[in-house]
Amino acid sequence: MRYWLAALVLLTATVTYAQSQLPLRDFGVTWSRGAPKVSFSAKDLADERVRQELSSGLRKRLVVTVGSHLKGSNQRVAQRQFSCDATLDLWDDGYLVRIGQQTERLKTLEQVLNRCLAVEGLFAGEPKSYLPHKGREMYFAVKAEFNPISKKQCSELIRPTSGNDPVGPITVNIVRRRICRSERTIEFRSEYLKVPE
Amino acid sequence: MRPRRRLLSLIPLLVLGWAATASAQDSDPKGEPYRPGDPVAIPTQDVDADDAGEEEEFRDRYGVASQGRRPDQISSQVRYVLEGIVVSGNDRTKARTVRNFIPLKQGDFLDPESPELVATEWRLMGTGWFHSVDIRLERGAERGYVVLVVEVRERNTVVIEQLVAGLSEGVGKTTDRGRTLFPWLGVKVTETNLAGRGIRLSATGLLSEFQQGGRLDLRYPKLVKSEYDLRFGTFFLNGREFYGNSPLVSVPCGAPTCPGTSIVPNAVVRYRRGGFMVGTGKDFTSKLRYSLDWLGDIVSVLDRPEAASERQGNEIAPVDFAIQDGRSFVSSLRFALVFDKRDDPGITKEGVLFRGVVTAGTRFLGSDYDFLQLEAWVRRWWRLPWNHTIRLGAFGGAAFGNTPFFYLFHISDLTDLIPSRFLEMQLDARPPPNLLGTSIENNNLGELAWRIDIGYNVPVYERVRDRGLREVNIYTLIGLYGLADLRDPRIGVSGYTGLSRFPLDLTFDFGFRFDTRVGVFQVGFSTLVGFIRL
Repeated sequence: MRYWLAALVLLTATVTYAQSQLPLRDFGVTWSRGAPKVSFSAKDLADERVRQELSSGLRKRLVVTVGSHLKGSNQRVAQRQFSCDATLDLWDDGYLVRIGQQTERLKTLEQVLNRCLAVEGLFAGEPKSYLPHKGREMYFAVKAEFNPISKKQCSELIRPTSGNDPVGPITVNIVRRRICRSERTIEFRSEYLKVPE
Repeated sequence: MRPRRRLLSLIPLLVLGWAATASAQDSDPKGEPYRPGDPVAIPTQDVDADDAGEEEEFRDRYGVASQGRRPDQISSQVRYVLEGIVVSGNDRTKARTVRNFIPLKQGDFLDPESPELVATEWRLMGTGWFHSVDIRLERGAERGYVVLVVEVRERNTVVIEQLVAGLSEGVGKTTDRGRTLFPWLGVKVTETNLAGRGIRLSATGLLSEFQQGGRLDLRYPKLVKSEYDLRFGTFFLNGREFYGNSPLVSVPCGAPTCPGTSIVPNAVVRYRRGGFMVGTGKDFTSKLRYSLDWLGDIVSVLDRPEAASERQGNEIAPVDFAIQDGRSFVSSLRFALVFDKRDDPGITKEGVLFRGVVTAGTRFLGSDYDFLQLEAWVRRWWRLPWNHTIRLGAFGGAAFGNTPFFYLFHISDLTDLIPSRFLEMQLDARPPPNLLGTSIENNNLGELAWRIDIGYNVPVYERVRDRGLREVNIYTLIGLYGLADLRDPRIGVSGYTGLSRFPLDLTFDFGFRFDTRVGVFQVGFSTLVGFIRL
């Protein structure tokens, strides 16, 4: 039992340490009726390759995940995630952008990146998540991904296709991890701030 | 179903049909014929602020704070007509092979938001033939027409699939007085994209002082109606099978001072075995698949003792070599069903894998051996909250009839303490240590086999990167196994009492697994333990 406890403490400490190592970035935070509204930019996700991909004419997905965590703890207070699907319309010279149930048409790639990655006034959870932590220090951690693939899709897409054929696992191993994570990911966090009393 | 009920059941169908027609008419305004490339109006889901309730208070330009993301619920607004498919960057891989992965053909309507089309890129990457795959659309000759461009960068498609090496004890021939320590090396190399057509060709070889063998396997994916694959295999083995528990063999002495016979403690059968396999397989789903193979073996026994006996408890019994003298033919059908729900076939963290196999040899297929062999094994992995992995495994098998020795269950395949068979050839003449001191010491080959085990995996190094070492795991495993002849469970082996009558024993293994760019390597220490005389 002692060993399990020690292992758990070690694991928690490792995760906490890893999160505290995320690069800091400017965040705008306002509190609206007990819930935080955050603003930040993750536009540096769009490097040259991502920009090229976004102009491929096929649907590409940008996913932004914002988590709020208590200082010095692995405990997640709340999480918010949204995805932004962008498709260049080859014959209309514009982009079709979907966020949740909303669909918009934007003229340029820069407008798409502003809409999807320059985040403004995003509710990072609901007041009920923050109520028990009033007065405590916390921070926001952001993960922005380009074309992530779900675990289910990953296993279904590249499952070896023959029963007695052990070649599958090997070739799958070589490429699996490249496929089964997003094509590009950035992570950063905010400064510490206090949950209002 | 009564007539009245049947009539009633039609009413909702009619209502649904009318609603569907009305909806289609709504989204296709009259007087504006559809042109490829034009946006298609999609019905929007009006959210009534009053109906949204409390959640509406926390709505922003990205949705609602408490609402989960639903990325796959997309109905597209844009349609094109596919003018053509262009494949570029492929030196070795045939363009037709790449096109087979694309779920569209010239003239089809193309939805650029289709998840199926997006997944094509991943599917092509999943073949292992390419470093990178980029799919993009380019404008076609007319408005609304597009060309699908698939740009690939090829990679080396020859992979070392299996590399095993070790030290074993063996015997050259029955008259040898002692056993020899010898090294052995087994390797399997596969070209996964032969002639650029996606054909897989594997070559397997085993080299040692006492055993040599080779095998070629060819698999042509999805040949018949794009559903069934076709497989061929051929092999040639020059091997030795070591029999008996402290066997006693009477052999001609041969020396002038020794005119009669002498007793030697080895029973070895030298044989040559060659064969051919043809089979097919099909995926029921992405997780469930089956294969059906016909296997033909010609076995030539080159040398075997005239007679040999072995100790069976308190008794001396003749050794059953489970093979006919001279040349014999084994013709069998093998059906395998596999359910694979592992998250990763290399270093598995969660999921389940089941494999059931039925092999039947019969005179109706020209076989000299009538037999039926059944085996099934299942493994289940769980990821623990602290990132370790626990695994449970179970195996069971039975062979009925006149089964040749290479289709019987061998103790080396059940224990981890001596090397397992490779190419169905026995690598080590040693028996495993009899840790529980049971009657299993009498059984090297058996008709009934089972094993249960539990394994534990601890990752000690993890790094997210494409090159070099990505993960190191320490693994441990402990299990219990049993091996018996069909008659043993009923009559038992004399000379044993209590629990020792049951032919079962413990096995264990520990070592490291390395996950690298070129595959997963495992270094186990259990076979070294097998050299320690306990």
